[in-house]
Amino acid sequence: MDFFVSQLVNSLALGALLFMTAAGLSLIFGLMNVVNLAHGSFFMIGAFTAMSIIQLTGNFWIALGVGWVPAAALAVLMERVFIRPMYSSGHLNQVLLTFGFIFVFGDACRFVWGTDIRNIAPPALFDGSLHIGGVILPLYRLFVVLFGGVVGLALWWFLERSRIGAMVRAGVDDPATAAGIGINVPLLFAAIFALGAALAAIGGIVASPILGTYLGMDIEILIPAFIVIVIGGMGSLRGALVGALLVAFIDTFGKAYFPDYALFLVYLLMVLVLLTRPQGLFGIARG
Amino acid sequence: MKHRNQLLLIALLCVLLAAGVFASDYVSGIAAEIMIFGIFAMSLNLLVGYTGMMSFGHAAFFGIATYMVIGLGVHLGISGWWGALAAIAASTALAALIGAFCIRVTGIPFLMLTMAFSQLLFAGALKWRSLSGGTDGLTGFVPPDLFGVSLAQSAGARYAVVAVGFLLVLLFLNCLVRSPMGSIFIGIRENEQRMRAIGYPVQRFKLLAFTIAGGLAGVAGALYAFFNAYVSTDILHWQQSGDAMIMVVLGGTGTVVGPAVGAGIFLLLKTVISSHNEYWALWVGAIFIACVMFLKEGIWGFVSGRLRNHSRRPRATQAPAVPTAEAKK
Repeated sequence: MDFFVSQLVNSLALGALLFMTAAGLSLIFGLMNVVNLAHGSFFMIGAFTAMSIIQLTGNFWIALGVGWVPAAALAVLMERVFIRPMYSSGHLNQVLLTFGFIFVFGDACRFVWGTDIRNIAPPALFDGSLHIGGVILPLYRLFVVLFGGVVGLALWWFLERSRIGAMVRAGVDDPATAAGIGINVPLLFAAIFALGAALAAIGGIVASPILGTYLGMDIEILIPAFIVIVIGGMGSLRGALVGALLVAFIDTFGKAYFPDYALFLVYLLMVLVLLTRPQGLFGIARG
Repeated sequence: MKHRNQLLLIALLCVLLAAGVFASDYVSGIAAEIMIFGIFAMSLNLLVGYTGMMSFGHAAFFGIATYMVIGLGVHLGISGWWGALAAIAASTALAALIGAFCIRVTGIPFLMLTMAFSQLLFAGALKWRSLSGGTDGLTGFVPPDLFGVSLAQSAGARYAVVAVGFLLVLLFLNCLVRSPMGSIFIGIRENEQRMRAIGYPVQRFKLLAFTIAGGLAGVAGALYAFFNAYVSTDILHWQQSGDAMIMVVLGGTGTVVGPAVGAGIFLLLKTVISSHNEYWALWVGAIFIACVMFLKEGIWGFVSGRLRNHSRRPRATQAPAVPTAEAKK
């Protein structure tokens, strides 16, 4: 039972990280119809930036406050210069384009931060654990779960209740009409691309005290994040949430209870979902 | 005229390939590796370039063939030649099986599904250590003899076998894409719905393309077993599929031989840049991005288009600049 509860917290924490990364990916796809394979790179850049800021200031909260800015700035640049000319050339060309960026960003990170694997101490406030009965729960993981929930709520409020969110939803439904009624669609696209990248980077910052920072963490989050949005349905925030929790539960409990088969389970889940519902659980089938 | 040019080109290629037997072991080794990955990239291009199916799990068929040859040799002592036949049969069968599932979806789900199957295979190889050797790999495979010359000892003989395999696959693919079946594949790429409306059983032809491509990747994998005599799980890693995709785009999707040129460019870039500069992935990535954005027909497509322009200037050329497969929403 104790083991079960601690695994539950672990899977919720992983789910929160996956959700933050996958939500941006899904939003970018839903609005801009762009598939961004370099999304995991923003996660990694966020984590590395956080590491540098923490080394410099010794304060995790400053890193969380501003550590996402470089990734978002890079995203704006990437959208302007490289992705904008490719809007009309189909998903598969965008896949190829952003696939190339994985290598560029990966090597750029190696150039800036080197190849060392580094650990980051959790902020002092959450550096410890909670003992409830016989269960020992790391405080920081509880914080990650909470933080993921807050980000999810904020995102939901932003999309469903705010004026800009309404514009985004209009852009998702029908970009031509949205442009016709005076919404600056190109600006909106750039903003959403930056928002998605910032979400991934924040995911990376929050993840860094758990995972540390190392080269290759971009792919390690990208593949499960893609599985999440393929399972949940591309372009759906609800799908990203449900998919993230599903993948996190199966991965964590698979590793805990069936260590020999854990690697298979998530992929099997994706295969099953894709074969029965190609558009994903919450996706809308596109003609 | 065009036909004679082609024969000339093939003859030239044969002479060039034959010359490799007498090159130094180092040069013939690099050339053999380029040709092996050339076959692999050309087989992927049958899907990506000709049929419009973006597969991200093509390493599965390459890897299963290499594992088959080396596994049969190490565990059962079966000769590499029989192993190669079994390997090509195995990768063809596996491609037919995986393809039967994957062709039910298109676009991004297709990409993810092909990747998922290859990752399942990767996980299998990682876990089933008694059979695959896991990350340590399988050692101790002895490549077979060819007319009394041991492939294990003679780099020239290894090279010759690879070159013959490369030429056969090149000829086969050249005939295939010019055949009526090749036209059907191209038709599916251009407009799947219309092909369906005309009455072609599109699904069956997609499966056929997937199976042929898998079988050809198996040829590359079997040759790689002769060449390398060692296999580990790296061969099934998604990066292997990604590398093949880079080769296809660098060389260009519009021609049969383009991806093989791309394989050459990729491997040479990797060798040359990585000996001078540790950030070779950055350069390859940047060149790749430039190709995707500005050189849709790839480096080979661009060069051969220029050459054709040059040789018969008066006539406007119909360089078959085939765009990369478009997504079908």
